[in-house]
Amino acid sequence: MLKDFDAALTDRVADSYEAYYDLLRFIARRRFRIPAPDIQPLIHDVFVSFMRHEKVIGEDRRWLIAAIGNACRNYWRNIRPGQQLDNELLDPRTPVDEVLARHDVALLFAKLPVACRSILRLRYVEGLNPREIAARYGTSPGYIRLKVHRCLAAARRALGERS
Amino acid sequence: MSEHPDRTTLAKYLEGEPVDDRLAIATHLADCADCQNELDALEATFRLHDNVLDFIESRRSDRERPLEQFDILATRQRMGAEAARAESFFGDLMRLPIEEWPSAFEANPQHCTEGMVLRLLTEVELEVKRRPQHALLLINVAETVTGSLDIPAIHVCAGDCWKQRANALRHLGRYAESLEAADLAAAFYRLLPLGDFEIGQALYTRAITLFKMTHYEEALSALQSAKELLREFGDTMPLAKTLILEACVRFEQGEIDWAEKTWLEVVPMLKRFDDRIELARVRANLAECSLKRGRPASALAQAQAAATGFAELQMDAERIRSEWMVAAILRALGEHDRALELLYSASASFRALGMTSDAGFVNLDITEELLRRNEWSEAANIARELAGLFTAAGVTLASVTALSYLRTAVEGERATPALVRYVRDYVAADDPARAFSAPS
Repeated sequence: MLKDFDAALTDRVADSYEAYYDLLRFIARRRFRIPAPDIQPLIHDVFVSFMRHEKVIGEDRRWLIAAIGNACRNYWRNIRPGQQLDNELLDPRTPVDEVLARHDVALLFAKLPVACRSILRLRYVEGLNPREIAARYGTSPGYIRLKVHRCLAAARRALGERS
Repeated sequence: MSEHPDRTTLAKYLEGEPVDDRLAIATHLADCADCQNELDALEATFRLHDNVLDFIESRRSDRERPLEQFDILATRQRMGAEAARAESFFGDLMRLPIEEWPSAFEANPQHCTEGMVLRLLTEVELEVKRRPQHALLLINVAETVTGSLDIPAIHVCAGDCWKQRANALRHLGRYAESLEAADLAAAFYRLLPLGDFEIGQALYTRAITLFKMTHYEEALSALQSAKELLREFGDTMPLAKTLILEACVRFEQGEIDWAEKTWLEVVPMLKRFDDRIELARVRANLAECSLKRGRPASALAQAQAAATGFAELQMDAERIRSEWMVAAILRALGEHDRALELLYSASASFRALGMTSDAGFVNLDITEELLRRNEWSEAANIARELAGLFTAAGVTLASVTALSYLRTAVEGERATPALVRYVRDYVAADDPARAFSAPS
């Protein structure tokens, strides 16, 4: 029984590593501008800590993202002792929520047809109204409304598949 | 270009789509900070949905296998093997008196590993409530093993040792030392490459001791800091425990609404982690909240769920306490016969476990209920047992005097439920400096 439990935990580490390694690398590289050669050791530290705590962790992805943020902030503190970190890097909530949202939206958008991605981006990310979008596409606002409606339905279906 | 380009024009410019006068826009952007900011914001939002995947996809092809020392699955395997060796050697240690363990490690330095420290500290967790003094000895051994580790294992293990020492010292009532130990744990965790999760737990440990010391404001301050660190990591057991303790402090401060809301927030987390012990405790606490807020029906459901949970876990003392609470709620609901039945059962169960003080307090409830019914003869029988039960529990002579006064009043059919409550409060305080005086 204990063996099965340990095996399940091992699988959890392997699964998380496979699923989130690249995401953690993205955060370290893009969000915290960690030099490329130093990223892999940081991610290794994060997963070692994850293994120590896995029994008390409920949300693997969220925990790992918070941990890489913590590791990256400490990296800069160690490199530049005595220097104040940027406020942006110090606020722990920003990177976690921002990256989680980006990752979710990215995964969702990746499942949509290209035309839908563009239209939804224009409508909801840029905040353009149907008339402005129609002007871009050389079509009528009514057609854009219909298209937005259909794309949202596709997004809902994609969300349903994910959950 | 004299006018500011609108958002759509800027978007087209950014994406390289045809615009009226590209050069004019570029010139305007060089001079107009507002438009440049708008352009930067647009660029950021354009990248919102695709930059994560772009990055991942662009790197997927050139993703090398991690170098040997950074291969996490190999590390996992190493840690697993180390844990198995530690388990085996721990079995050998258990056959020796604990005083001989340090020399056993001296003779077998290959067992001075992080896995061994973790195994020793697992034993500490099992022993800390029951035998805190023994737990301290185990921690000393774990600390000796820690001394032979490398960075960063030495820091995390030293932090863990000090955290557990803080727990053991708290159980021994050595509160000042417990606080110092918790602070030292946090100090070691601050040396880690990523220690926020551990620091949050050290702050929680400090808060428990402050709670025991009834330093509620300081406990809340430590809990607030712990929460800020732990929340970032999503739902975890340390966060759940931090919230539970915060609710306990609020409850003691009379903030029943706050406490109830927080305990309710924790219930799904405890279910998720299948922590049935904490779940049963939280349900018992929620029952008290409902009762205090005048919702006995809701309190009854929570208290019964708590009793069932403790029964399943074979935690007898906690089960009996929950059934005692069920009895109190039934009395509030006017179901006195069922309540009395449960009270008798609780009293007998506490006595069977040797918990005479609890049995005594249940008997006070029984006495009060019997007086309400004018069942004087039975009330006198119960009242006669009180002094014996509380004496066995080691209360002061003044409390025994108060119980004798009550017994005499019951035998003389002069006692009232209010007198029972008066005596109960006196015995609960059990203050040797305050002599008993009959109520006026």
